[in-house]
Amino acid sequence: MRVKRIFFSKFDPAKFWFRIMIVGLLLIYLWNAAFLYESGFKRWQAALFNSIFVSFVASLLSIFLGWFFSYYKYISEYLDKVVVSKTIIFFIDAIKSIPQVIGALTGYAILTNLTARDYNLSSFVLLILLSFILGLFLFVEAYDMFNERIAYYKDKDFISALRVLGMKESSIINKEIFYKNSRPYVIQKFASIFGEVFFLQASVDYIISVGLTLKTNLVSLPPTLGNLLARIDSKQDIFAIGMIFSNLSYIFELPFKHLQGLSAALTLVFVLICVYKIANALTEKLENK
Amino acid sequence: MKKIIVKNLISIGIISILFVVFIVVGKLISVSDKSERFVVIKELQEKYYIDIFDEEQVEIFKMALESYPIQHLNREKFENLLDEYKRYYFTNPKAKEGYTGKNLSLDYAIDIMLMFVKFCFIYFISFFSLYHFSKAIGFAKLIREINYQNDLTKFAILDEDEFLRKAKHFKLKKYLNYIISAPFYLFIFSPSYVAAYAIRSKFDSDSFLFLIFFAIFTNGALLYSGNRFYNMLKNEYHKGYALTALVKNLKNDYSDFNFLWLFSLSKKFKGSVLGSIYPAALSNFYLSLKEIGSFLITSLAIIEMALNIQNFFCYELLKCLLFEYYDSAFFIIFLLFVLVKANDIAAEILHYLNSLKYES
Amino acid sequence: MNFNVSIWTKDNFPIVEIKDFYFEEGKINFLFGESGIGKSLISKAIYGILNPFDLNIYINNKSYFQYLNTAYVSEIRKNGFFVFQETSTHLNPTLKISEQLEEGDLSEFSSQFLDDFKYLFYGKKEEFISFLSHSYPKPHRPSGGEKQRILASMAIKKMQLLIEKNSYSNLNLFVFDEPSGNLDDKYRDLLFDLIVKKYLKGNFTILFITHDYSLIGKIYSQYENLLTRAKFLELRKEESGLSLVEFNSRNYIDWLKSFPEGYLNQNKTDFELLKIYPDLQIFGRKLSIVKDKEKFEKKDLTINKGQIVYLKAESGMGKTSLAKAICGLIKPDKIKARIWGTTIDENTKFEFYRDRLWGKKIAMCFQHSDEALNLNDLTYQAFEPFIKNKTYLEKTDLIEKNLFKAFDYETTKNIFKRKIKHLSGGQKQKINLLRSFLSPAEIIILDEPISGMDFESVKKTFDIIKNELQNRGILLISHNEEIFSKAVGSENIFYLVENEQD
Repeated sequence: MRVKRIFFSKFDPAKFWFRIMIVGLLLIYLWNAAFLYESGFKRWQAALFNSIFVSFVASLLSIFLGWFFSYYKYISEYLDKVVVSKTIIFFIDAIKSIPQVIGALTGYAILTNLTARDYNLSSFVLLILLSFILGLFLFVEAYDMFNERIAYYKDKDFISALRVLGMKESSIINKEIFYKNSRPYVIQKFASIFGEVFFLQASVDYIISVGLTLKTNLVSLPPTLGNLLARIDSKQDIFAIGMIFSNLSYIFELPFKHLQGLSAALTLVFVLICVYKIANALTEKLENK
Repeated sequence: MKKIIVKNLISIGIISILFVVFIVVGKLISVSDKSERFVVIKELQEKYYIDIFDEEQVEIFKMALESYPIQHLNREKFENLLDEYKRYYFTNPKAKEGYTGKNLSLDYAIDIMLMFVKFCFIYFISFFSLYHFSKAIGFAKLIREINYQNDLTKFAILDEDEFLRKAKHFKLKKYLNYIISAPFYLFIFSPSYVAAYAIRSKFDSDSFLFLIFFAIFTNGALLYSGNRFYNMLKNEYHKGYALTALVKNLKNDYSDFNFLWLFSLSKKFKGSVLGSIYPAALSNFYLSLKEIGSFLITSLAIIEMALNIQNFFCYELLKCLLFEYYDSAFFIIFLLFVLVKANDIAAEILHYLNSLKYES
Repeated sequence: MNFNVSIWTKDNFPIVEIKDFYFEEGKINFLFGESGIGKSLISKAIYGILNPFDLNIYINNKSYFQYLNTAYVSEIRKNGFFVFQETSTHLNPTLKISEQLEEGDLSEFSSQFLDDFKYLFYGKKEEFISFLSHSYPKPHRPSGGEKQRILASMAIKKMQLLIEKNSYSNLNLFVFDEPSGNLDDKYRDLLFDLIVKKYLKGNFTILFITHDYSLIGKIYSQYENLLTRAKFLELRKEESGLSLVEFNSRNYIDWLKSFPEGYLNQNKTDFELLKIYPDLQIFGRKLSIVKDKEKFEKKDLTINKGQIVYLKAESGMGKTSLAKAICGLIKPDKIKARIWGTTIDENTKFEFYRDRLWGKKIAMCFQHSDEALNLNDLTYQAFEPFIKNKTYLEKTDLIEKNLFKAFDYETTKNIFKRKIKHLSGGQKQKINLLRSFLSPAEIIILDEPISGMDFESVKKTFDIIKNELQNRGILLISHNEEIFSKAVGSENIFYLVENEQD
């Protein structure tokens, strides 16, 4: 029975890493509250909140779009509407062929160009629009996952068994396959897309915020971890990390003297690692089912 | 194979037509820099050393033009042109210092193509390296797991207390490994611009080696693709035929395995369970090269843009986007699309050719 | 040898617990029991091929880590073999069949094995066997039955090598897990004959896990001398948990004798429900329905109200594909049938099936209940979507009445709100069957209706089919030829064969 305790404790890695993420963010929050100057602290808070908000909304949107296109592709194939299914496949193929960062960047550039000219959009609306742009280039993963779920059941007698008993096709797909048998997969995919959006969003914000020269800037976007890192003072903070290679004792000064950039970078990397671990743990859970 | 090529060529063909449309539309909506109109002003500045923002100098020049018009330029025309120029200068970013970039022309298209060739060269080397590193990581992870399980099972011949002590010791060792590898994790998961700035002082950021190194070892690319291959191996390892291989008493002990073997290009595990599962896992991995390739292109794009590496392909795209040269931007995006499609076609052909080996 | 086996999941949920599992050394031990009860898992645990890191296992109060290090396990792993049940994933898709028969312990050459292998494919041409050995396994070729024989042949080869080396003993444990599930009678008999031949030479210990009760009939009729060296065991789920009991083989023989020939067709009428014309083509294969295999006598397959028709064919011939084609679930190359007076053929649009037939005139009970049922449903939810225009209480009432046909009162109450994935294989198969009979359809196709069931469940299912036949016609597909050939009667048996003449 002691073997049970060593090897088979009720340890859920996904929950474990989620707790680590919360505790870690809390610790960084408290450290920043104690040692980061006020405006920097406010900026960091806003950046973290906005980054998580955009990632969350973009991931939800990706799941929705993935479901939408997967379901309608299946139904159009079932009803023999070749044009519709081929159009969806073509559209998805085209989206897959554009590297995500390029697509997101183009979307960002067009959006900020429009807003700079005519509209006075609130931060909240801008965040929603940015989420939409990111979701548009990442939903294909959710689409593939929904397709795989349908293909898995199509291979077996599941769909045929329900069809021949008179169940409607929409119920078979949406209720029996997606709702009753795919929720863990949706959660895993949500976690995975969340991490990708978080990374992509930070990168695109960083790229756009850096711009080309000091004299050329886009309209200011709401603060995010990406554009926080792009600030000159943050960059100096990151640069300072290199100093520990020549002077190891500088490692003790970093968390006090270079906190803004360091905490932005650490938050970003820490969240990426935790989300990666959560997504991996959920994947393993699904494979071991 | 014909089907794969034809299907992808049709897709490329249709998208190409779309991109031509986008380029034409882009050209129309691109704010023209009108800079050609103001060449005269620039020439006058250089020839006569006039500061056009100095009212006194401009007034003297205007009086001189009244008496001595230059070519077809008289005072009135000069005044109108100067007004327009000043308005343009203050409102158009393309008139600012440090600006470079242009609408799509044959010369510019050739420049872009040359940058694209450079980009492809870096991409292929990164891709090839990442492919082999991922396989090495996937294998190493699985072999370590199997060896850990085998070693621990062997200790069970000891009495239970001793066995559990060994098990705890193994677990502690595992946790210690996690702690030691934490800094490497932080580096590998960092976005490339963070990692680059952290160690930038000695680096020449526009060297090929720099780009290849960061493409592979940052943005999580290595772990993402290594884990992918590991999952495929593990998937095959849990399939029935691996169990049949075990029943046939094929070797499943890799304690004598030399980890340097992982870096040789042909992996031979003849007579072992891993040797049974490797071909099927590799076949599946070929298909996932599409996503890995796409991810790598994204990675390289981020590095070039974020670090503002001049005269590099993706940085050129950033300039075109920000300075509203949408025709040039769409042309660059089209080239990236072609690269992604080429990667997809290559992955599908590789998978197809590999599967042909297992056709009766 | 006796085993006290406990198996839990990593999260410490019990899967299997049995205090006294045993098999007799030096004998052929037949292990019956409904599907999903734990026969394969216990056998794998004893054989030593489960991963102690995936499941929490104790054998004879020792942790599985310790059990794996015992001399017993080393001996049986070295000198035994395990033939797995699931054929689709147990052959390596990247190695030729011949290579898989020559790796590891099977790498030594044996001329006798070549003859044994051909014996398992008796009746097939030499070129076919040669092509098969040099091919790579694919999902549909070799067929399920062929894959099963290939896997079994690995054990046969191991036996033969041990015999040739004279190094056989009671400790040589050979486990055959459902080796004949995909085989028709002919090939099942060939396989069994070969196993018995090897057994008699080597005196191995054989654990033969099966649902095929007709093997009992075979032993009684052809291998009476083996009765003293055979042990019939049954793994049963009782109130106190799992227990292994001796199965009274005579009960099966007596039950088989208890009903007359054509028992199920005693109330056959003349009202035609379904007629299938004999010439078909499915997935490029030309097939014909015949009454007499030897004479190749083509005949229309007709099912009347109150009639059950048994369609037999070799494994992999296309019986299930034909059934799916009749239901409009796959598009055949060529078919002609009459359903309730309406002619259908290969050009019939799927809308016709969807709007007029599915759930109304025709229904099908699929072979694998694990695939056909939604395992995340509670038991009553398997029936709910198919009961229209009733209140919740009426639905509950109807579902319970339906379940009472197959289960006693207490079991019904226990399983009503239990998740289907937590039911045993036999229970799942019964629910699968009951769900099809809940449909108002008068034509029911049953594909392996008693697969995975224990003897008591088989008898119960028999009664259900008899009752449901009153207002319906049934097309039956089954490998349990001994039971159904008698119950259906020879005039209601048809064969599906390959049409090589046209």
